[in-house]
Amino acid sequence: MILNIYPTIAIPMGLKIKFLWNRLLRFASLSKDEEVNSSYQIEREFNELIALENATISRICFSYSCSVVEFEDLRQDALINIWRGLHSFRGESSMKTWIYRVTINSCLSTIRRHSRHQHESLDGLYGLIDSDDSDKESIEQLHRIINTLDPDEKAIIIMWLDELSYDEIGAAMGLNRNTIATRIRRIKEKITKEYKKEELI
Amino acid sequence: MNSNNMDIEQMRKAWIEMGKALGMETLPDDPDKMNKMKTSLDRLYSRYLKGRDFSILATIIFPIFFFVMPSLGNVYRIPLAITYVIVMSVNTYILNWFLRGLGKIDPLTMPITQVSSMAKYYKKCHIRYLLFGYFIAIAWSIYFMFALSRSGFRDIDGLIFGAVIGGISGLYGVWKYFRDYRNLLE
Repeated sequence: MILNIYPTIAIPMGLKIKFLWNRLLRFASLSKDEEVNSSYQIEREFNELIALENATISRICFSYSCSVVEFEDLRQDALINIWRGLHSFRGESSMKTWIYRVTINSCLSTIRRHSRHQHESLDGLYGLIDSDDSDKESIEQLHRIINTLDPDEKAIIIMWLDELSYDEIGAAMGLNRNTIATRIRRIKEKITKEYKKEELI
Repeated sequence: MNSNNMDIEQMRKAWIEMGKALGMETLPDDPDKMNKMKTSLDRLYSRYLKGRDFSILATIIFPIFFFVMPSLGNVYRIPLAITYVIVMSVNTYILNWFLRGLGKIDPLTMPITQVSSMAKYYKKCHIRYLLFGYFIAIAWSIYFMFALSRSGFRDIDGLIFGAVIGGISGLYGVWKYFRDYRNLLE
């Protein structure tokens, strides 16, 4: 754009540089107001989105963590990635699917530390649950069972539990519908076995 | 079949309760702060970047010391310098390879299976790099001590002692790595 309006007559070098610099400054100042408005709009969208999807993001990060520190790290990473992605999200998929994909990817790409004192870490993590005793027990049981699955299986079952369609799960995972259906069936069998083991204990 | 349905229903109920029971974390109000925050992947990338840059500097600067060390015999100067440059060049190449690989992982646009397989792959490669790098570092250090001892270097005891301490602390670091990073073979 700047080059298109550059004059073609012969001009001394110093004036050429001054001309281009002024054009650049004008271009920058014109877009600054737009940039500020766009920044406020994205901040508002981000806050609204987090208010709406906070439970989803927390559940996903909780499922992938084994300690309070890990949970907070995963959650922070997920929120940072969602913030960054909002600027460039163009509606290629639904917002819900996109949130799942970004949050789960953040959990998978985080280098996580395994605590030596795992029992204490899990107690600390379960201390975050603000619920009745019976609900808390079933949440802890669910967390233990989900942790027996591998990361891809965890991702699939998390989205299935939130009642996403097979097509939506497939879009987030990068797999076709039939593969998702087969995997969900296998994961359910695994989970049922784990539940039975827990009941026996 | 009925017990399967009950388990799934139990799971669904617990899942919904989990969402309600987990509290909200506060976020920075200032968007500039959010823009400056780094994910753990960013921090890992920075560590590899610093490692690679240090490796490049070490490849260029450290070999000079082999030519100015008074206690090193002339016959060992060139082989030590050459082997050092080769080892550090390979190290730089590997760290650069990690950087390029990590740079490709995009949690915003890639499907979950792709991020999962890439993360698993680079974690495995990192362990192999640590093991390989540790072995090469020990081998080169032994060669260096051999060269110094053959050159009539008198304080070899101190050198061996330092090497043993360094080796033990390096081994401890590798052991801690294996203990701390989990799910490496998932």
